[in-house]
Amino acid sequence: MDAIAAFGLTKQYAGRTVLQGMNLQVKPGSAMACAGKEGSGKTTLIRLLCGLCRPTAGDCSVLGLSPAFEMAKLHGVMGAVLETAPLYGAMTLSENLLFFAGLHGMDTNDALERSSFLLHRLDIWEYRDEKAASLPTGVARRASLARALMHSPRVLLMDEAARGLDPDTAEIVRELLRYLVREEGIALLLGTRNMWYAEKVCDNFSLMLDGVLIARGDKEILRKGAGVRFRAALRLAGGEEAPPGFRLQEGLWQKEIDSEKEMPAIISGAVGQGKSLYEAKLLRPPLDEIYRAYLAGGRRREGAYEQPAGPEPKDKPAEGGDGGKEA
Amino acid sequence: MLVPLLLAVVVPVVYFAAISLTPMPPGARVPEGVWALLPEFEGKLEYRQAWIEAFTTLLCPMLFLCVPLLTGAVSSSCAFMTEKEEGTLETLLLSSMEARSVFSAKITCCTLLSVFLSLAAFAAFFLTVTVVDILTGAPFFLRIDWLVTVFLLMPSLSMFSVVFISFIMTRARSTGEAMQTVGYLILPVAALYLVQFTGAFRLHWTVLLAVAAVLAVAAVILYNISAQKFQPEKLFAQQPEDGAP
Repeated sequence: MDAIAAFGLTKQYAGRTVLQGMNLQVKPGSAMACAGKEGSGKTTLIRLLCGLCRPTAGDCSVLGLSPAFEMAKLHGVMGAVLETAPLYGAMTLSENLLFFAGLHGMDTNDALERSSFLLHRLDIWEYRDEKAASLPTGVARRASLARALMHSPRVLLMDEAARGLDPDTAEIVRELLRYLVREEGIALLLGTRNMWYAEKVCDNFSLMLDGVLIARGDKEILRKGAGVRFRAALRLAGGEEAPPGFRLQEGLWQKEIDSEKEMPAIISGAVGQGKSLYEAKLLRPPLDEIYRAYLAGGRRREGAYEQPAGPEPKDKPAEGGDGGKEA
Repeated sequence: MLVPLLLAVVVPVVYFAAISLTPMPPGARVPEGVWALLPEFEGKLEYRQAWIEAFTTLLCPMLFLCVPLLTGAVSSSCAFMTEKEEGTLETLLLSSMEARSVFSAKITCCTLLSVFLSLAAFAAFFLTVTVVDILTGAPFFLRIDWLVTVFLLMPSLSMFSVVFISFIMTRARSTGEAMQTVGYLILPVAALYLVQFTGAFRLHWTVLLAVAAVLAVAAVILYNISAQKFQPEKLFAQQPEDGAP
């Protein structure tokens, strides 16, 4: 059974569609990022899965439970971190965690043990006796995550996990999330604009734009779907000519290649031609580049080479398409 | 706590001080209209005693009933509107409590708080007026109409004001706006007591009993309507900022 499943999920506010026909499956013990620009419907999707709003059309379930009709039961096995759901400012961090643990029916000793684990793991132990209202942004974000994890949920939904976090703190959160996915087997759904962070935390991605899912899959599937290629990069001794097909970019001689299997031939070729090869590496395109390729037409544009008669799309990618999966 | 103290202690004390310290003109007589409102004491009370009796019987209940109205409205505004504004209501609904349980818990706590504060205010009022009654020889004020007011009307009114605020919660835009609506509740109560001075009628304890019953029934009806509306979809109906395309 999928931990999270959505079929044709659509949400309209005052007649305006903010999420259109979203299909999504997240397996237990896996991490999926819904990545996209601001206003792409990520928050709406997470709120729908939390049961905070009801879909205009379509259906969704979390661990087989309907968010709209079994909300309390669902929240017993699911944790959610939303930017709009803070802790009680007048209570200390510890009091907040114990209070919410109590609402989940946790035993006091278990709650103390779990809060201690999470506060240490998230490196906010020293803030435990401070009022939530006075916590710095980064600490408050981690505190919200601790609150959502108090009852050891099997599914975690996070909206903009890295916003307001400095790089060190973001790394701490990333480590915890990876631990939860690997060791505790939770299913993670991350809504984020930060492609770099999504790539660090998740293995699977749903790329969204204007409320529409434009592609889905792991990074390799998405890369192929977007028509983005690997690049072989060589660093040669100063003044040396690069092998044919290479262009100088950012201090390295670079060339697009279809597969990493081409690398040994490129390296041996360069060495065979007597080049002074100091460094050779395979540059994998980051998710951000893949996303931008989708926005620019991506796979369709690449496909247009094979089908010259077909119209070339401009900025809009395949609508509601499961581009990555199809690729 | 200041407003209940003001209404239940300071205002009566100022009134009693004014009545006691004002020189009584020779041959001063209580107006016939006042005697008409206190028929059982006509001719039996002195000038000051009559004014004290009129104040404690006709006006003080109105001041006292403002306490449950205000405390109920303020506590429920904080429990519902402030939490909604600050986002903690959303956090609360992300816990494994049913939305209806959250609603019931809030209504119960606010009503109990309002009743408790009103009883405390009445205790202070009781002490103040009892001392004045003893000092001036005025009749002891705590009779059946006051008992009905304190033990039946006040709890009904507390619950009604709490539920009323929860009822308008989805329409009000801020805590301040929700609190302002308490004016709609105070006006009828004030009118009910003040109209007595026109001589149109005198509030009998049976009328107070009926009002308490009506308020209790209305509170139960509003409670059920509000509980049905206490759903995340209705509470957070606005489009989330990040979800806006």
